[in-house]
Amino acid sequence: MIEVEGVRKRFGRVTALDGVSFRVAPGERVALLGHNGAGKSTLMKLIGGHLLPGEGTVTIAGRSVADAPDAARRALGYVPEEPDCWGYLSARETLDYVVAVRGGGDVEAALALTGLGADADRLVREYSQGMRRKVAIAAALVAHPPALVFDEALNGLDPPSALTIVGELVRRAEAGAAVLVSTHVIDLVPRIATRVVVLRAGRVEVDCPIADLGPGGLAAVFSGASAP
Amino acid sequence: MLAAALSLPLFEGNLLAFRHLEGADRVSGALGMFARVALVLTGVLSLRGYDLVVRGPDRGTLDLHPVPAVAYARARLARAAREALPAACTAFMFLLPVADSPPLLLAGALLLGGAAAAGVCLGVGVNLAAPGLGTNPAMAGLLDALRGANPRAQAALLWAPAGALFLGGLSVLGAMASLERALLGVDPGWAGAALPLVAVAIGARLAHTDADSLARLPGVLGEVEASWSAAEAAEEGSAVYMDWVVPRLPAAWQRETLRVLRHGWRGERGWLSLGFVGAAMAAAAGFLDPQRPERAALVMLTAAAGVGILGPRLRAREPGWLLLALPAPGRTLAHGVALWLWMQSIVLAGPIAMAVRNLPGAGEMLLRGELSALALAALGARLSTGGYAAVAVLVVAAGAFS
Repeated sequence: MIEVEGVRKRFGRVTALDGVSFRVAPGERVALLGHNGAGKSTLMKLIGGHLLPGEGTVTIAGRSVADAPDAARRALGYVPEEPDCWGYLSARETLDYVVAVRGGGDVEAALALTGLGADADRLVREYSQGMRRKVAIAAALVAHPPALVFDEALNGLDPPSALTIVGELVRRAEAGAAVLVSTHVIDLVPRIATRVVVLRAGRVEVDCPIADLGPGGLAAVFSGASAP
Repeated sequence: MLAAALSLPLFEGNLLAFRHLEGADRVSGALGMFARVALVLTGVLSLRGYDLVVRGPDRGTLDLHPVPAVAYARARLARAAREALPAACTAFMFLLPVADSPPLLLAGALLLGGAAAAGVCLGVGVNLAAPGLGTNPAMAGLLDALRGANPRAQAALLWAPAGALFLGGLSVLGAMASLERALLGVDPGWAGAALPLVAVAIGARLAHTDADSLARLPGVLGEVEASWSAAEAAEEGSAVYMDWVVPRLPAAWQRETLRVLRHGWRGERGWLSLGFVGAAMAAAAGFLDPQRPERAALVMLTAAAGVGILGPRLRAREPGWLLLALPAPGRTLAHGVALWLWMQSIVLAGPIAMAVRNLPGAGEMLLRGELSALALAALGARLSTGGYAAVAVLVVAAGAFS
């Protein structure tokens, strides 16, 4: 489970998040939406442990990101918006490392899933931007953590690869993982998620199942035309 | 290297003068020189430890997955030690002036070796432990005294390099005092020479931190960087070094001069900051070497000439096609004015230091400096880097030795 409770975050005079609360239960898939500057990236960094909340708590599988960061990190597969992989290792070596430090996982399956099998032994520094993103996604998935957080992780992937990853996220959720994905690709949202959380000006404006939005409702919510 | 080159005129009179002394004075002088080199060595290596641990290129992946704390600490210590070897070898070259005195040679080797080991271990250990120390209740009092407006966790990370420098410096100075007493026969023991080893033990102990401290680092670092960005963004809108002069310039010069000042401050801040180092060295030269004013002039003008290189560097970046489309009248003049303004801290530092010490010749030094700065600014505003460097050498020589 991913739980965000009463999180406020300020940067100088700017309030990036103002009392954000929501939870992603095991088996649930949630899409985090919002315009540029709405606070999505700040919230994702807080969940990933790359920022600390000013107020409120973030917990991953019951472990506080602030108070028990190692345990929270072990429970989380996180793909940041701009992943930075080790260029001096191959994709296979990177995943071997992740499996070693996380205590298990299927490297070959992760390579096959992300389509990196044929290039698995090339150094990551030789990869294109999209392939590097696939390495980061494979690293997040390989050890089957109970919580998955993807921050704009599907950007730059070719459509078949993006759909394959979406399919895997659905399977992971069916197996009990809590999945949170932020994206600007509105067409993918119904495939990725069963629920949307929309941030506007640092606050949760909408938090409801996609099914409740009705035809065209998702686009309307995203553009701010209506809020159920 | 620039700082070292500018320091050269100061070395002999202030660092190596002990060679002409005898007995206790020679011992004190030599140990003073070793201590200064050892302090620099500890500082450089402990800051390198900060780079490795906090700013290392591996963070992108390390920040996403669990990190085996003990293995990570050992690997970082081993790498820091390996990377310290060139600096340590360079420092050991300062033993050459005492090669004829085995006791001084041994004392110097102990001091420099201890300083290198302390720098490595403290640099890695203190910075690795800092995120954990930031949440340790036992550290709350100290951190509250230091933190200002920062949360404790950030304060711990921000002050960690200073803590490493403090502990390393303390151990080096303690060892130096003990060795001096031993060599002068005041105190029979050399035990104080082991003080840097105590610093090594502290650093090594701190390096073996827990996994939570390692996992906390990206969050604390993210907070520091976010705070810095917020402060920098506010500064960018309001302050550029020397921009307060612009409203006092003729109206026709103001726009272009402000543009050059902004480009220089935002794009070449490191180079301009070296100019401040040059100003400090010019002040030191003016203050410390009253018998040889030409040395102070040489330091001052060399540093000013270094700042003048910004002219060609900035012009090389300007998009020529854009300048054709948007003509900028007075562009060369603006570069010259900006360069002259940037040189002022250097040109004023030496004469002010001489005036503070009530030495004769401060006025003459100021005149030489300003005339040379005008010449250097005019050259920097027009010439390419190579042409400027060649002519600037002549200006510096003429200004310093005329």
